[in-house]
Amino acid sequence: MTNQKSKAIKFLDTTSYDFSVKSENSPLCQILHLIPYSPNGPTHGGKIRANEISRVLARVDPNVEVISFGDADYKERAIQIDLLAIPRSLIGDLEMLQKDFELSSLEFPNLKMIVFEHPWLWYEVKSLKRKYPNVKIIYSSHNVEYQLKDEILLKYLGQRANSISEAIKSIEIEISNNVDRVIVVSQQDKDWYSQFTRLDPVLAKNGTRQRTSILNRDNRPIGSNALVIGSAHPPNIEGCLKFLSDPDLWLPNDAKIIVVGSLATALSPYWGHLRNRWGATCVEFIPDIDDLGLKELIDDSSVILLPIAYGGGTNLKTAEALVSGRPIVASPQAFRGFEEYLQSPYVNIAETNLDFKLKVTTRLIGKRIPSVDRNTSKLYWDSTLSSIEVAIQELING
Amino acid sequence: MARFWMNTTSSSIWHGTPVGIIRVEKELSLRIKHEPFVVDGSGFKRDELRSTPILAGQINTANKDSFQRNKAHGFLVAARMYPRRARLVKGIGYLISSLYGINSGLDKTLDKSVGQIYLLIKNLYLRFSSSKKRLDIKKYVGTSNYLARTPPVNSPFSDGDIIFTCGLDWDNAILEKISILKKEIDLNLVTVIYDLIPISNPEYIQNTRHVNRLLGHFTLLAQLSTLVLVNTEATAAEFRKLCVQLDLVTPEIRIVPWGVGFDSSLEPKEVPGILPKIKNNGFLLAVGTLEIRKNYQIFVNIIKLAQEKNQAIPHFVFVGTPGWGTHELQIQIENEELLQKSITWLKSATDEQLIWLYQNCDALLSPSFGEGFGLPVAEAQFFGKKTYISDIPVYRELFPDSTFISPNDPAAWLLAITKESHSNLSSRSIPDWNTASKIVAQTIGDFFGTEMK
Repeated sequence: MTNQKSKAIKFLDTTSYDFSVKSENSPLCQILHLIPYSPNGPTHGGKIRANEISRVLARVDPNVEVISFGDADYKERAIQIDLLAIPRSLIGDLEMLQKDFELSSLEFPNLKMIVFEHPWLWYEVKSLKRKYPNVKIIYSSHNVEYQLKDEILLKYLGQRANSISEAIKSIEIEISNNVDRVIVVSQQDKDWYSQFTRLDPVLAKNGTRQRTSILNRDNRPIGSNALVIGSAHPPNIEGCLKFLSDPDLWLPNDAKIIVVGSLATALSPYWGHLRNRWGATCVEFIPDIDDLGLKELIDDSSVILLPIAYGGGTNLKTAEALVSGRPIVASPQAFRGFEEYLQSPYVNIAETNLDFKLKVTTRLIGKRIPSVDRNTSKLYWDSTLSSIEVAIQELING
Repeated sequence: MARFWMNTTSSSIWHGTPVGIIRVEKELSLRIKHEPFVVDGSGFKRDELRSTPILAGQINTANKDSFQRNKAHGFLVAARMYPRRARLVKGIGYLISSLYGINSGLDKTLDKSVGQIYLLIKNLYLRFSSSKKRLDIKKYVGTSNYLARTPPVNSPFSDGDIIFTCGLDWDNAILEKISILKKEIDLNLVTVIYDLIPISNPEYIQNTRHVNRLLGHFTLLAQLSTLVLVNTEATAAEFRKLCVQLDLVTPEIRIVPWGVGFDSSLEPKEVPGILPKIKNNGFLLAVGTLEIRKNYQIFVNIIKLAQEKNQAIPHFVFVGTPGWGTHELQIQIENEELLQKSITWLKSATDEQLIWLYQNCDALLSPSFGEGFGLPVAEAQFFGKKTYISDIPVYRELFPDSTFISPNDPAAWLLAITKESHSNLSSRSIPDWNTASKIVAQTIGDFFGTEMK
């Protein structure tokens, strides 16, 4: 039997965190997986990747202990996302870094390995390492964080950005110098981290799950929809506002953009009131949807859009779009790490916002294109994360 | 029998001097026999149009015939695009502009202050309407029986009719209305593309909303048009390229000329104070808004290069309102001593003054990076003047008698304007409006196998 324990901690009177563990004493646990996301709140790319990594760890050790740390107000904040408040939420990551969650007070007598996502729990990991000096540490990166934060913070905070991004960079270098392995999501990230690691970083790109269709929709006469799926992450929000600006003015008749995920909530203040030149709603917002509904939307879409403005890592929604077989219009940033698919059928890359709109328009006014096979079996999580399983086995077996 | 309809919405509601596209629509509508129709995209009702002095005046002089016939057919009242408050503000703007017209014979200070009030209100309106109140056609759809019913009850069109539209159609959502009609009625649509600069060179357009609006417009135009008229092969090529990008079958394209010419009753009028500046050395003229695309920066480079080389050059006269993206250049022109001596910048000029400038200049210079037509070049050639223009496809095609120079090479411009004699042209290649209108009518008539006058 396990006891459910949860803590809610006030920090700096600004943000409260909660986390839960199965038990204060986990004698069977050999692998501890630390995830800096609230178990509540909207799903997003980072969270999906972390959960998939948990599944990989569970294959190695069924008694893996997963601890999710999250901002207790995450869900509420996510639905009130405001671009101007973004710097504050990013600073929240640094607050998490400084927070003492007292993990070292818990007992893991058989602990062999700690895998932690993002750099924000590094000090907790260090305290556990002091307690269990033989434990192996794996850092699972999602980006080169300082580069991503630098872009965002420079945009929103100007001069203050330098000190914050430098602080994040030094943490990332410290982590790389001290952990046993670093997991990276793209070759570019690997190139950066490998400057500081003893062993080559483990490249495990983002992937997707195989979704099963109930109906064959390719022959169904349907309206033309351009689908955008994403979280309320600044590069997604700004990408939409840049590459798809003024949808009321350029979208063809009987066509609409459907925005899915917390991105929908973020974009709603900008596009929620828009009517096209024929007086019809031209943007539809779906903040929450289940897997089956999402699969239907993907199958129904004329084109999937990946308008990502900037940022590092690889985007799992790109993998998802490629696997779907639907036509894609994307910014170059969206295909970072997926370069081998640039020449795939109906993958269109647009560098400027006008070119992006032209390509979207082409898909929306043209004849519906049946889904194509892009030979994407290696984009499934089982394949993309297989290198992690190998690396962990090697570490555990010494 | 198929009837030929012409949309004269833009010139009917235009409140300023009929230039550019408005000029084309007005001149063609006066010369080509047609059934007129107006799509009320301005937010004004028919009676308001007639009772507004400037508008009524324009209709009486430019479109009297069309206006009378419009009454017989009834207007195709199709849009109430602006919300009520914006209409009110626009109404006040129109009222003051009318006042401005009435007072134009009074002293300059009063004219200027009234003009400034008008501009202030116009700018407030634009800011207000673009940021706070977006177009809300839904309101109109709910109240009008035009778009709400199928088939549209007020449409005067029949199967096989030819609809010709050549105005500011993107502003009045003309094609959107026609797209609805075309679902019910087999209409032949003839459209005009003046240029595709917003699509081919969006970097020259200040307002991204305008670029986005035109993308929507050109897409719809390509989908709906039976025949597209352009005035250069260069524009035709740009349009074909756009259709390929959109994976659309390119509609039939015909190249027709636009006309040029001033009202023969206008007398040339010297610009006050200009002669002492010119000092008998003659002057070179540049006409057009001071915006990035027009490349006025090169004149500054030419003048400074001439100073470095100690070369004498003629005086420059610019005629054009201050445009976007050239703020620093404008400050430079108005404040640097060398430029003050070398350039006279007229931010506005009457038609009479412009005629005087064309008649008395040594040559016209147009170093523009991109143009659809280049009206000042055509007008200068109308007056037999030599033209030095940038080496761009549209200019090569339209004005072969010019001297072509790279828009990025100030040294070449300096060499050309100092070495060559500015002898007048013996002939001009751009027709007048009578000839141009006949060619347009014949082109459309030939395409549809019908006689057009």
